[in-house]
Amino acid sequence: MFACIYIPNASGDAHAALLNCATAFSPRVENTSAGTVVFDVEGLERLFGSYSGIAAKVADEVHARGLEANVAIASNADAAVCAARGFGGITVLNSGTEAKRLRDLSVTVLGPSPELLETLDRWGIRTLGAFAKLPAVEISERLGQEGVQLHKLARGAGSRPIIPYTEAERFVEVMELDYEILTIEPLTFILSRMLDGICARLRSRNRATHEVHLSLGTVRRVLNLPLPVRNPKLLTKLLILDLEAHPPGVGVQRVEVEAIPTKPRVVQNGLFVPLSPEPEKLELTLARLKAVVGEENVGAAEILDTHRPDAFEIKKFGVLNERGLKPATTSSVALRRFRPVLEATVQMRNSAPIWIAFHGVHGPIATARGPWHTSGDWWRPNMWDREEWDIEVVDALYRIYYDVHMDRWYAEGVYD
Amino acid sequence: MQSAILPQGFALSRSRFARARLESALGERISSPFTDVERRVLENVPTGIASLDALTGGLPRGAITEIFGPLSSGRTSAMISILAEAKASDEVCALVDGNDAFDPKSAAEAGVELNRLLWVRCHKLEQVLKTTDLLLQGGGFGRVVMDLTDLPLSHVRSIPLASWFRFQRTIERTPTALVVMNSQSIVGSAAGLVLQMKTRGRIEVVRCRTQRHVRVHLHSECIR
Repeated sequence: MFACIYIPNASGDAHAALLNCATAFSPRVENTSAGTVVFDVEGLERLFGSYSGIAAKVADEVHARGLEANVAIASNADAAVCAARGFGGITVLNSGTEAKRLRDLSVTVLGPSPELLETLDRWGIRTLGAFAKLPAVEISERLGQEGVQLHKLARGAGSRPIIPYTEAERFVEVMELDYEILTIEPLTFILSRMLDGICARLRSRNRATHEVHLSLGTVRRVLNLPLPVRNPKLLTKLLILDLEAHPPGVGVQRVEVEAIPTKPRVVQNGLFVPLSPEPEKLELTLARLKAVVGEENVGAAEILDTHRPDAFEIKKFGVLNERGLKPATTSSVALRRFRPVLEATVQMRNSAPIWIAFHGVHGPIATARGPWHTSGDWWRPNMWDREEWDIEVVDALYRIYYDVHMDRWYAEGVYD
Repeated sequence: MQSAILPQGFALSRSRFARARLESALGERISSPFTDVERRVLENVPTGIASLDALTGGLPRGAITEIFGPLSSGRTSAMISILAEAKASDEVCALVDGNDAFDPKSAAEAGVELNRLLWVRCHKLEQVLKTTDLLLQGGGFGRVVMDLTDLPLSHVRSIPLASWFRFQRTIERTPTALVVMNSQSIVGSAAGLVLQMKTRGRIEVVRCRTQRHVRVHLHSECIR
């Protein structure tokens, strides 16, 4: 059995109130159209008695919200909608009596298209009973599928399942404080309490979050997580670390936390899974490391697609499943870079460096190989044009270069 | 200390009697004070350098390995080889770079998977110690390299021995291998393995236009 609540010309607020009212009775609610809500009442008779009693309870519930609505109960959703739109007050259609009870209602309760309504009007068909008496085959030939569907409803023979309405899930906690908070420490307790509530609701709906929005008055921070999380302690620590790195700078009197829901992470553990940090722990460790050395100094290096020396960027570190299959290309000795490069004084003889001095290192150059000329980005302000040399000084191997553009020598690194 | 109650007629030597009294007195706090703590035998991880592996059997997991030596002795090459070798076991590694000297291009050419290497660029000794502490406490890294090479030796020597023992205790029962790089030995007895890198003979520089090869004839010596 299905119940329908109908309010003609309902506003948005009134419709929302109808949905709330319906969800108080049943988890299976259909948001049919503006001012019309259908829900499943099967099994409720054990709680509220007869179907008339259920309809009366629903009407009371609507009335308690300051609204007046028609309530109808029928064996199928479409008959309930027709009855609610056609009859005032409370209506209960017993199974098998739908066609008989609905026959005097206007065809407009079916909600036909204007063209179809005009055709029916020209035929002199104005009630459901008259429409139901027409032969189905001829209806199909003249009015098409829409006509067949409405003809079926006019006979009270609808059989469609309802489309359940799911409320948009928002996981928000707001707290108005009596006085302004100026330091981060008291926020720990407030955020912990708010996130406890949010995570409990996420768990109850089998959801997690990968994005947390924090509003502290006018200051807004967004915490993006690489994986879905619903651990309140972890989220509190990450938010506090983020706030320590980016302090609000003003007193806080209103705290709002919203977690954007997503599907929780499902992990299949195995005996032969390679050693790697737990994602939640890793995220916390990375946040702490960023607080120690700065955000730009933590991550995985990515070499840029250019020939510019020492061209790389730091990207966010995350344990990836894919494996790099790129094998070692050389077995050369590694370079330790001087960042920034060190300016050097070099003496030349026969176009080769013979003596050098830079940053505490000075002496004759025992061996020198070069030069290797590289240049690039000549159309940009940060162009480079240089001649590289590998030199041996005091039992150590260095890479130096002559910057053609700047007319200076620099030590770039040491081979080690 | 309460005296131990011994069954009559049970002859004990003086030492056994003293031991029994001590065990009785410490009974509630320490269950077996004279029993050696069972040490977990962990595997060694290869360095990727055959001669070094033959010499040492690899780096011990759950222990500190110290590699030190002068400039151009091959310390950084050994470090990169250790990181590159982690690819074979699909491990995630971390590098605590004491003076921002790591060259990603050299590492990638040597076979290091940069997307599985967490690079932390430090500029102060305090940052290095704090970072290493956080990484070891967080766990899950197969190899953690702490590069102190370019930091002033006076600063590095000021690290208390207790810090090294704390690191050692942190990783003791984990599969993490902590590698400390330096120009002189500083870890002391907290290290499970100490390697001194020395340059021997002539340094040969070979370089062509398309590819750069710099070969250093290395000699590695196992101290402990």
